[in-house]
Amino acid sequence: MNINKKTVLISLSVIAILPLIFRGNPYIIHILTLALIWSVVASAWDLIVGYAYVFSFGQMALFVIGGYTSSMMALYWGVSPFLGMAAGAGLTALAGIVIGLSCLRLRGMYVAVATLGLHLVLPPLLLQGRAYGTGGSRGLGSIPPIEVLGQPLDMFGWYYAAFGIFLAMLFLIDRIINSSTGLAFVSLRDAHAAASSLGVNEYRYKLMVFGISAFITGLMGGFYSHYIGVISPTILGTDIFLMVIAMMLFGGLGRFPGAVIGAFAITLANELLRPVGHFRHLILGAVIVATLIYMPQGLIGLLESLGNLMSRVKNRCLNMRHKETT
Amino acid sequence: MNILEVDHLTLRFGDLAAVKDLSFEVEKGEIFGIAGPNGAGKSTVFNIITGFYHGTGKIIFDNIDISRLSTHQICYKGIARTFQIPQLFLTLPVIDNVRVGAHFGVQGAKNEKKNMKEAISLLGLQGRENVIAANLNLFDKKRTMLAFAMATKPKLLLIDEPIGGLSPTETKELMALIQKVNKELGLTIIIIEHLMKVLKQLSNRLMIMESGTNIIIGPPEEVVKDEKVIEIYLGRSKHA
Repeated sequence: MNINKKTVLISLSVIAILPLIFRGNPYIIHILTLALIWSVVASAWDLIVGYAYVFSFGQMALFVIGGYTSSMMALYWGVSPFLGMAAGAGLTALAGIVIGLSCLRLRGMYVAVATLGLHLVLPPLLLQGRAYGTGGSRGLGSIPPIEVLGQPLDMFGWYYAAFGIFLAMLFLIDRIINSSTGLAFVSLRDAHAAASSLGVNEYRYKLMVFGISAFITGLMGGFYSHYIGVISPTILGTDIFLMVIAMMLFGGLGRFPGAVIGAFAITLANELLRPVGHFRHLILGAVIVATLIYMPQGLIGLLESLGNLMSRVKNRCLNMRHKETT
Repeated sequence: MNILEVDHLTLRFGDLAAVKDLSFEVEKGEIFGIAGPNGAGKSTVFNIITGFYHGTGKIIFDNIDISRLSTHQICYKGIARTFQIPQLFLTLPVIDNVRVGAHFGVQGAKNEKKNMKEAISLLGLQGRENVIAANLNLFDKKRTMLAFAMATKPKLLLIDEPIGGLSPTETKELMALIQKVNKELGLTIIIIEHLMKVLKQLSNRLMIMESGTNIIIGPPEEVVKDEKVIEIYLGRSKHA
């Protein structure tokens, strides 16, 4: 979607000053920090599903791989979170490419099933991996936070660190979408036979999207683990999995930056729905189904339609005015 | 001089031989027509030449054995194609559809803008560059498909049933475009069509296929008089 620069700058400025508006409420700043993290995760997932049309359901598994890598390096080897996050992102990218290699000849729902396999296989591996330092069912705790000049970040520091990574990763995703790589993804999505016949190397771009998406997701997994201080197999549960899918769909699949809008909306809604307990899953599921039926192009699509409607109304008014004056 | 040599090509899907021991050559610069009843294997031949399927036998293009190459590699060698049912990048505007061919084709990004401009101009798509492909009418969709194929700068163009669904005026215009591309650019073309009068007008030589193999190859005026061809199309001998 083409969003003008003014709208982007205003939106980013609003996001930048939100902690100052809510400075008396650490809980809200925490929710907004989570929204920034999930924005990037959802956008990376949207890149592979919405743009490249590779139905990967292994993204949360990759998030966890990044998180565990960074956490274990910090806990057991004393590696700084910055290096740990970078290493986690690198290892996750490699994992993404290995998954991509195994899915090269698969398409559509078969990729979904294959990658869902990774999502399902990882929790028992982590549970059984207690002897290797995964912490078993309890996961890892007391994960060292990010420090600057020897001091751990405070709530503003975490927010702006998340904001910085959010800006960097979204800039990267935007550049990819608007480059020849993005053109290859979209052409393979829309008509893969035609794309191949025009010289687009399907396997190469498939591996590329797995690698890039995994790198970004693994990086955020690392950041998340240092921010929360805990990581465990519960992240691979249904609620977070459904929540991130809802973010992508609600925002607009394949319509960057729809996933960002979706992430903020769903993260806030998820917190507001806490009092209803497990009924949150039911409501999230209903949101996904309702979006697919009534708003298949997501919030971004709705905003575009409203924008077009307003343009038509404005033009009609201008024409009427012109007729009156002449 | 032959630009394409297909030698004893066979492709089986289980027990079904979609293409059976097929051999033919295409001369550089000619328009070579392929006709035959439904299920004769015409589009399958295109799919094998462009690497979507790999059969047994050999395919030599411009003195290179392309029998085992993948689809995108065959594009780099200089073969482009269109599809019987228009395949376009529906969410992209015409200009970006053509950009895919120009960027990823034979010459790569080097001459992208020039190749895009030439392809759009050649196919008469000026003024439609920013129209989203999903909103194009059938004729413009077929022209866009030809444009992105031409933007790859091919040496051989495979056109699969281009006339289907077009009005007489559009048919005439598309035939003129195909002839222009062949005469002015010297591009070798293989065209599959059902309409015999179109093939007679366009082709230098014509191959009739049936049940995966070729029945006859020759100049169109001779081929259409062949008894076996008449029997395939009319179901009885002319002299019965």
